[in-house]
Amino acid sequence: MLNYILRRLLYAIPILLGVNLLTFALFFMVNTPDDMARIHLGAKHVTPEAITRWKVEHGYDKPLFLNSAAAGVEKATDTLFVEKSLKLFVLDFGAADDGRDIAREIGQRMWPSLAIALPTFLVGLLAYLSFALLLVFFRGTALDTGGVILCVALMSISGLFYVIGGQYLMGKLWHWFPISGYQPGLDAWKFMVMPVLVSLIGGIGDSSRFYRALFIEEIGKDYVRTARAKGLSDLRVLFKHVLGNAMIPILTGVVVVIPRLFMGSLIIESFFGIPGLGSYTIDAIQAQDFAIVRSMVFLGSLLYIVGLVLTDISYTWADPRVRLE
Amino acid sequence: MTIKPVLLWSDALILLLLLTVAALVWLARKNDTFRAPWRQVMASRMGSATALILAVYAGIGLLDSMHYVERLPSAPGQQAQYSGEVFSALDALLKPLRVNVEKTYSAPLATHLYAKETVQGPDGVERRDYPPLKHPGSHLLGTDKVGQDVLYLSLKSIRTGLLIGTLTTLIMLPFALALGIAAGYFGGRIDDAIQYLYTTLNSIPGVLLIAAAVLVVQVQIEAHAELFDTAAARSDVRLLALCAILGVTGWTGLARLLRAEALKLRELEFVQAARAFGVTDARILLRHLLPNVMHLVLITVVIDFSGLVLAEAVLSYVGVGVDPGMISFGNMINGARLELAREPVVWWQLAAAFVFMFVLVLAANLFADQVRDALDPKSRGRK
Amino acid sequence: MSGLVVENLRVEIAAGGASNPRVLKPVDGVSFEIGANECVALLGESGCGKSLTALALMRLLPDGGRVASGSVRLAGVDDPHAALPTRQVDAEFISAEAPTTSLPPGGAQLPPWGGPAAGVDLFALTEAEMGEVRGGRLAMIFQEPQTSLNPVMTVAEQIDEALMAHRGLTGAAARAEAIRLLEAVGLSADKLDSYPFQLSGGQRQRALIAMMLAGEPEVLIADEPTTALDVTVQAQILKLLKDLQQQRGMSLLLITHDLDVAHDMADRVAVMYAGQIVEWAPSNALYTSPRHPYTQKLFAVLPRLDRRGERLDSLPGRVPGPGTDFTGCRFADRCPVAFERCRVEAPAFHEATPGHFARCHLAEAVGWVSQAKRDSPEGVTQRLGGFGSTDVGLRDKAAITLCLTYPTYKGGYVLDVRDLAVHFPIRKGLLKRTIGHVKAVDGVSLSVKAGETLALVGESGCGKTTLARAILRLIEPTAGQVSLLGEPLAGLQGEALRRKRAEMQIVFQDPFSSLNPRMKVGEILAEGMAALLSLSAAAQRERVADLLNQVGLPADAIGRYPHEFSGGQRQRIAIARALAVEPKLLILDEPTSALDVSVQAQILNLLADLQQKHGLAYLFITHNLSVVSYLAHRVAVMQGGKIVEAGEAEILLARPENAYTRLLLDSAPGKGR
Repeated sequence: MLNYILRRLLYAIPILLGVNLLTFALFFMVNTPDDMARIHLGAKHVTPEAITRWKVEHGYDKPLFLNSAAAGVEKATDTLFVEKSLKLFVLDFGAADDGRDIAREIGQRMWPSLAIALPTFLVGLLAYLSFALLLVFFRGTALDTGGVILCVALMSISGLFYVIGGQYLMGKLWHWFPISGYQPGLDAWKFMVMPVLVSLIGGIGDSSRFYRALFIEEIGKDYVRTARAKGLSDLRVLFKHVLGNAMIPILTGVVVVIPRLFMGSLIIESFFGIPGLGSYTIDAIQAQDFAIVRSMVFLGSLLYIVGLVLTDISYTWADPRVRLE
Repeated sequence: MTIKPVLLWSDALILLLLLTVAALVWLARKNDTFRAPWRQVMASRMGSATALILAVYAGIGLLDSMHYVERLPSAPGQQAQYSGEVFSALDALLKPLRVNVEKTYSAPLATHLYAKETVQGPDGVERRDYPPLKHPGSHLLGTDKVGQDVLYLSLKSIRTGLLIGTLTTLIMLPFALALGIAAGYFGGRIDDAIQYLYTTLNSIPGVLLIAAAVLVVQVQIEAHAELFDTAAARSDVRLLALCAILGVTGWTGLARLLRAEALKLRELEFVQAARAFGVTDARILLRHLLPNVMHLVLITVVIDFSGLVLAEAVLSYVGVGVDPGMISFGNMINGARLELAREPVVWWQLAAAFVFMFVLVLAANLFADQVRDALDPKSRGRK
Repeated sequence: MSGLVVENLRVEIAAGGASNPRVLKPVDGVSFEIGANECVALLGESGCGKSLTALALMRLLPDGGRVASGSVRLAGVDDPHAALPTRQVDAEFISAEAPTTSLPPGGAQLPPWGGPAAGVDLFALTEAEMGEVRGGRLAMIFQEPQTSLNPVMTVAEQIDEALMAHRGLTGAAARAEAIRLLEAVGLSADKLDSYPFQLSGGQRQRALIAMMLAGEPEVLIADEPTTALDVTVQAQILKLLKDLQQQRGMSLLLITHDLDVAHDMADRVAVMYAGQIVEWAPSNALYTSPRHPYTQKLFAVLPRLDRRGERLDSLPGRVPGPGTDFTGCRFADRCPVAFERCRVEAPAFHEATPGHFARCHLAEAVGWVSQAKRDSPEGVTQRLGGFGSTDVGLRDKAAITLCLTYPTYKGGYVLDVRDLAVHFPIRKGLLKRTIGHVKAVDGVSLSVKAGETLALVGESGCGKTTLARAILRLIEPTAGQVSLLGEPLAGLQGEALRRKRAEMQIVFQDPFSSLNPRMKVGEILAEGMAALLSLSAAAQRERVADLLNQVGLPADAIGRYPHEFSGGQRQRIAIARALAVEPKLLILDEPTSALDVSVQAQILNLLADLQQKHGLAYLFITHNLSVVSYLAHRVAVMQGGKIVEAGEAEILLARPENAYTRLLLDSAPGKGR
């Protein structure tokens, strides 16, 4: 097991290196630091001096891969690639364009993100699975048909409408919750309920239908027939046998996202004004702050790989056939 | 009035797509194994109804893809000058809607503007009142902030949505097919390399990767503004870039599916039999593997379509979607969402975008279900 | 006393979808009975409706299927007046435990469908009540041990469920009972906490039986319980079932396609054809004098030792589908003795001799014996002793075939394999170092002459398929040498190897996955020619037509797709494909094991014809010993990657020297016949 995790983490290094090279190529080679300076300075102030000054201020004045001006090892280390890209490996994210430390921002902003994402994830998983099980239990009846049609209809609506509709109804019309904003501490729940609720409703169509399809596929298998031939009740067959086996494909999709819960949801956080990592990212995209975008890309990849390892570990729990070696 | 046809890049790709589909249909016209599932789809009530809806949308999109510029009136003998504004056949058909512009918001079928203004009455006295519309009662779905007809905007949005849904697939398919099948069939180092590639791409959060790429494209377009002679050409290139980015980042899912299928197929006896004849790898891939994974490709394409239409709206909201000047569902929603705070509510723009999008995506989803049932023997009985 | 009476069972399946709804009738008026402590076999080829009959009894029909009419009655201890009239018991089957006292003297025999309706009608129960019967008084085991057990639950958990549901046992009591059940099926107690993937196929089937015994069933249905198992394991499982049935006084309904298995196991046999029972008789009577022409044909098409060199009888056409509307006898179109009346009037069930019923107009006259005379009685006496019956029925025809002169090659062999080995590395650990090898093929030597059939016999996992692929260079051998027509293959690359490929071809087991579903038959046959022979387009077309003719397919097959053909026809296409490049050696990898016996006979006849005509050398890979005894000139027995015994077929089958060979021969069903 330990051996396996070790190997997986070793395997993560080339992947992260690949992510690093890709983002570096996008942000420094296709787009040169000069381009970046030009955008940030605005059309009016573009002079060669201003560009150079901006680059020096933000640390973009070094060569990409090889600094021939430097001496010794610094030839290779005192470069943009090492400074801006490789340092991400030690979680040194550097400063944003506005000069603030990205790592500190991440440390602060992940908590509000988590406060929204974690309940959404847990309640969602429970609700979607229950709904899917309900449909499957009544499979072939009008309830099932209606439920599936509802799911398809719900998943045909853009997520933006759920947010807009939720804010309008629950916030503006009914005055249940504040439309947006966030407050740390005990009062946070007031601001959390609506984003969580909206995310839950937005996801129910897609997820429930997917889980239902998984369950129906399992129900067609031979071992289910065996279980029924033993005289077990439908409920027991469904919960003990079908659910137990369906856990394997369910976990594949579910566990991998857990580490990324920290990063929050772009749309939800931005609409509801949650000061989390999602809105941080979206602001950075809109402000074209590449330092933050790069950091978030790296962080996202890192968490994804952690998620993959967690997924594999969770298999050992759900599937006795899996031994990690 | 003299007009000159204009072929935008996206128009050319649509043409290419149509020709490809036509060629495939022509090649498979006598092939029962290909026709039977489609006949099954069209025989079902759901399949034919959704196909009809999709065909109507596609028709509107195609009309909107025949572009031209108008010749400006010029002195005789002078070289012909063309307007910088590009129109489409749809614009020509909807000309009344396009040119009947109001000043700002007006409710569906209203006779007066949404907001009070200082107007001069017939008696010459100025007072605050709702000014009458220039074209009262002619805006079936009302007008937007700058007075454009919402029905016109909705119809124009269709092409954008369809393009994202189809061109992305067109760009994604070669990657997914080549890499997925190669990984599964050859295995070994080739498999390792391709798996590395898609794990790396997959590991980057989707929106961020798209955002990063779109930002880069945006900077490049701004840096080379001189290359685009019309605004339409510029937003067209940005749209294509978006499709390309979505395609290049989106091939991993299908590739993984195809890899698994190729892995299974290469062990099957008919492939072994071909190898026993010394048939070349290229021929095996083309004759034995490719035709036997096409059903997966088709299913994925129709399922992905609706997802991509929805993605456009979200990406436009994030600011990394289509050009803000381009008419699209995303931009319509984006422009309208803040107006919900006004009193009384400006609801018609959102409602129009909602209905037009919902019908398209729902039809696509239901159609996809029918196609999957017809093509994938495993999914039979799941419904 | 217990037992089961099925009356007039009809199963309907909705098909065709909403646009074109059709009703299929895969089971159409089936009646039979099983007495206490009796084993009844439901015998039939694929698609005859035997499995659906069993599922209908359990009320476990797949979605879309429903019981249209009929009743199933379980007579049980709860209903003392519901005891069934019992069968006539052959003395050999009355074991010590069997309640012989309850048998009426002489064994009154009632028509199975006319008996008094006694006991509970299962179709009248509510689903909850049925849940108590299912796995309780009536239990069922299935064909596929690989998939029939829940992969994520231990054996103990899966047994406990049934103990809890039917006997209310939990905790230590349940565990003790589970151990007792495992021991009853021949598994040690330490298998209790195993997961299914840790068990072999035979062990899984035993575990499944233990689960089904947990509810102490009165009637056990076994649906092809050994079809997926190796022959040695099959023998053990069948013996276990027989023992359990007798010890527990259970009724056993055995669903099978295997005439020999039915013979070994059953007291009475019901032969099914196209959704109906066409013959119903005590086992002995059925096997000595089958009454229905279909049953007679089934016996006649079996390959056997005493039919060596003969052409097998054949049964033309195919089983009519469950959507067919019948007017006359369902078998009329394929029946060799059909006459006018058969086509217009469906025959009734006639009692030919007491207890022996046949659904045939010819059986109306009591004592009627038709073709049966020609075939069965002598056949049976000759077969007594099975493979061990050394000199009985050995013909010289095979030898005559061999005397035909074929071109001889350097060394005299078409195929000559010397010390061939295929090892697969096992990798493990952080750096995936190779820590050992799986020796799939471990030093095999064999050779085949022109016009000769070498049968390679072995059970699953013995390496026989790997060996075939290594000979064909579909996988690279680790060591050893393969020579074809005296020329070594090793080291051949590119063009030279490709040319050599024309001389050896392969026919696979599964007729469904061996043909590309997206290619027309014409394209499939032309593929090898295009790759290996340089023929003009016209010559190619001509050759394709000739091949189709040789394998007995219509000329218009060229433009059709594989899915339009039946399993047997597909296998013909696969054979034609291999022949297209004029090979000298044909490797036949279980070419008939996926086919019904009647189709198997056609394919075996075809193979014999082709061998005579072209002087082909066959390497015939199989696990079916009756096929081996029918057609092989020489036999090689493979176990664990090695050949453990090889020799002339007659000698090896009669006097096996190796212990494993003996075990294989002893395990083959039908030995008692």
